[in-house]
Amino acid sequence: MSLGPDLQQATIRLLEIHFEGYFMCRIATDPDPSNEHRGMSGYTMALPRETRLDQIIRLQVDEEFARKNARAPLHDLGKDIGVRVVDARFDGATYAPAAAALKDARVELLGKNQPFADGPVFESRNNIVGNDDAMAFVIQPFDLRIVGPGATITARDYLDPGEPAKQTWQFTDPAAYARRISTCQITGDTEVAQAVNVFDPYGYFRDRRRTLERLIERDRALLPGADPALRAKLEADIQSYQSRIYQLEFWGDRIISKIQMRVDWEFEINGPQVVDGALGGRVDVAQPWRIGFWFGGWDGDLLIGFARGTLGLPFLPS
Amino acid sequence: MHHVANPLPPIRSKAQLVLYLKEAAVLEHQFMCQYLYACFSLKKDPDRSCSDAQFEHVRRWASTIYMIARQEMEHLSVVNSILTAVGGEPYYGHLGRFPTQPRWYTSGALAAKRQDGMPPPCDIPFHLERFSLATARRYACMESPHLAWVTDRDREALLAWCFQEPDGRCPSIGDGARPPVAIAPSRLAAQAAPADVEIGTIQDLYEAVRDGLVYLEATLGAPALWNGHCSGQSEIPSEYNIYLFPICDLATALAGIKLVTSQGEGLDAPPGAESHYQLFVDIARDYAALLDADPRFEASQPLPLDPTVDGYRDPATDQASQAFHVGYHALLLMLTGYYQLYTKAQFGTSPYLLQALEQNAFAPVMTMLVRSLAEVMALLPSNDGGPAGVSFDLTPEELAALADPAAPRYRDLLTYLAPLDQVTKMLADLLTKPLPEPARPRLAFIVENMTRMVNNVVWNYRRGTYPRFDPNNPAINCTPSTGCDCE
Repeated sequence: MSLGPDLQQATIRLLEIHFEGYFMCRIATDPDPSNEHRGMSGYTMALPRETRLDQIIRLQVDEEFARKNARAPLHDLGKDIGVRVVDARFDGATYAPAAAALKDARVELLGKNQPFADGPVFESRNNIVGNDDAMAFVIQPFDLRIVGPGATITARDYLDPGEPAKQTWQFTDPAAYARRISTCQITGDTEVAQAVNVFDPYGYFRDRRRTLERLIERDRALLPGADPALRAKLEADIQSYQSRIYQLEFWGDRIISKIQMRVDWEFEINGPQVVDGALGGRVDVAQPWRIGFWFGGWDGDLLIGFARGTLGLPFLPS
Repeated sequence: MHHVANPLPPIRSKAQLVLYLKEAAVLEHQFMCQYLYACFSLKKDPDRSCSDAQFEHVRRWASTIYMIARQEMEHLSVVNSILTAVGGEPYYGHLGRFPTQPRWYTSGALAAKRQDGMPPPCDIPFHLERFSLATARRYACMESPHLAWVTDRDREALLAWCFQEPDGRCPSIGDGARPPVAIAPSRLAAQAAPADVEIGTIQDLYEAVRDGLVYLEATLGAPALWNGHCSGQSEIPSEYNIYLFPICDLATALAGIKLVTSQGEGLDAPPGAESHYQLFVDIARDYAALLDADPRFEASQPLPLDPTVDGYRDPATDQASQAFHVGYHALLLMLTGYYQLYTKAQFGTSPYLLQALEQNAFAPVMTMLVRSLAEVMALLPSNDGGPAGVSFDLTPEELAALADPAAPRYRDLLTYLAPLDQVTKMLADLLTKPLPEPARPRLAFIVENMTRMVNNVVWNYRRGTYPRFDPNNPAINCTPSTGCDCE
């Protein structure tokens, strides 16, 4: 729906949709290849009975996926996976109709990046289309959906709107998709520390090692009385904890430094933009919506991180 | 510590220094090939002969051995950096084929490690073989320092693994099941009658290099010794367990040698430091314990022993093997050109050949082509129906090209672009043929990456490094969020 002349004359202001929450990403890490499914030489890995490393950025997970892949002590930390709308603001204040329509709205990234992955990924391909050391990633595809009780918002961005199906690897010039590359990165960021409640990264992971060591002791104590099936499970769990401790010790700062890290993106969406439902005004879907967000607070042991961002919709309140 | 006299002739000329360094380069390269092949064989999933719990041991071994392989690349880089710094040429070739029996690892040469009253050491041939308990022990023997440096805890194990039994056999490292391997020539022996040169161990080789550098600087003077150029040894973030730094003088060269010997044999390393030798000893012990508990345990897939490039009957496997060969040689050409031609000024001068090589040789070619294609090969059939393995063999012509870094070809972009493009086309063609289904998406992914990589080489050549992809570019850093405006 495009704005009529009366709205075009008016000053366009933004309805800002603020969202945040924990995401999960079963991502392969250097020096494993980007499509590594088990994790053999990087610091991330798929443990027994878990889903493979499928690279997918999951802003939401279902119960079965969470049960399968949520490692101890994720639940004890009170970190539930799910990126949600936390506010809808207009003119510097919460705009009640939009806030109600989007109360706790689920924020999702849809689409696939085949044959690489069956979902959206942080794409660098070991420095082929981005750069791992510079944290220069493209989130591809970028197909956003926000689903609330009173409204659904979708927005899709193309690397090349002239060729919507064109993939990152098909470009010859990274400048052509520069707008979709992360804009900057930083470690030791205060906002991130506050968001994930980790102010002592070394202590956080020291506690993690102690937790894993206690779990090993607990499971070892259960071995003597265990039947063969339980014994096999306990032994696998013990070795999984050992592998997690190994990774924390082996990689050290490489894991520790990521818990207060942030990587930012910001761009104007160039594809279809749709609002279904009522936000208490009119949204201009013809003008590109601007989105800015960061992913960070990465826990390379739990394979979770935190995302926070804002989607700006050109808006005229009712 | 009991001092073992170095059996090698002391280095008294730059020509001799260059010879020793190239010998070291060959050995480091061959270690790396063996370790990589072993890693490619390690299982990526539990199965009937590898439980979930056992698999976690395998995963930790894979992580460790891949690290060791990376550090062998680091050692190769150190050696080549010293070579270019003293005005020599880098060398990224090796002895040509596997199996090979380096003179450094014959029983006679290894006897330098032997103390009085001990049995003769085993020959340690170099094979491309699947990882096993015997392999782990063989690698421990290969990396072991002189026994005088070995702790009491490990001495008994090494005596059992690395020294001949009374009947002359060496079952602990897999001896007896294969025909003996002919001794490969050594560069050092090439300049003297074999009897004149007593080959020691790699520890002796590096000690001779170290002593030679000190002697040559004292006698020739620093300007005459260090009349080459710094290599373009990338300063890769140390978080990958490799520690590269520019080498341009005696201090940095000696630091590089110390890094190599402390990582490899554990010489002068802090107590408890995990040298390659120590890591392999620990892995071998871990493996033996798992086998004691479960004799059916197998850590690896049955990749063939010492495969050749053109030895596969299955057409798809053959084509993949040929493509790997082209890609591996392309990588060695890129490293040779980069180390030979690098100067800081040239790096920043258009056309940006050096940046094209630097941006593409490492993670892109090493990980996304070499390793990835090796893993696809393991999904293709070998001649016995088992999984196939890559060959690191090089032809005499290829070795000759690698031995001549001063040749004009290395200044020509096409030298590198042509084989990368050839690999891309070979693999794209392979995708049009019948393939086991697990291999297809992985191969398709490699083709995508190679297609882009070929374009990247040209882009980097014309325009340098894309600023947003440069981790040293300060513009990529965000403004910190402080939360408070305290002014």
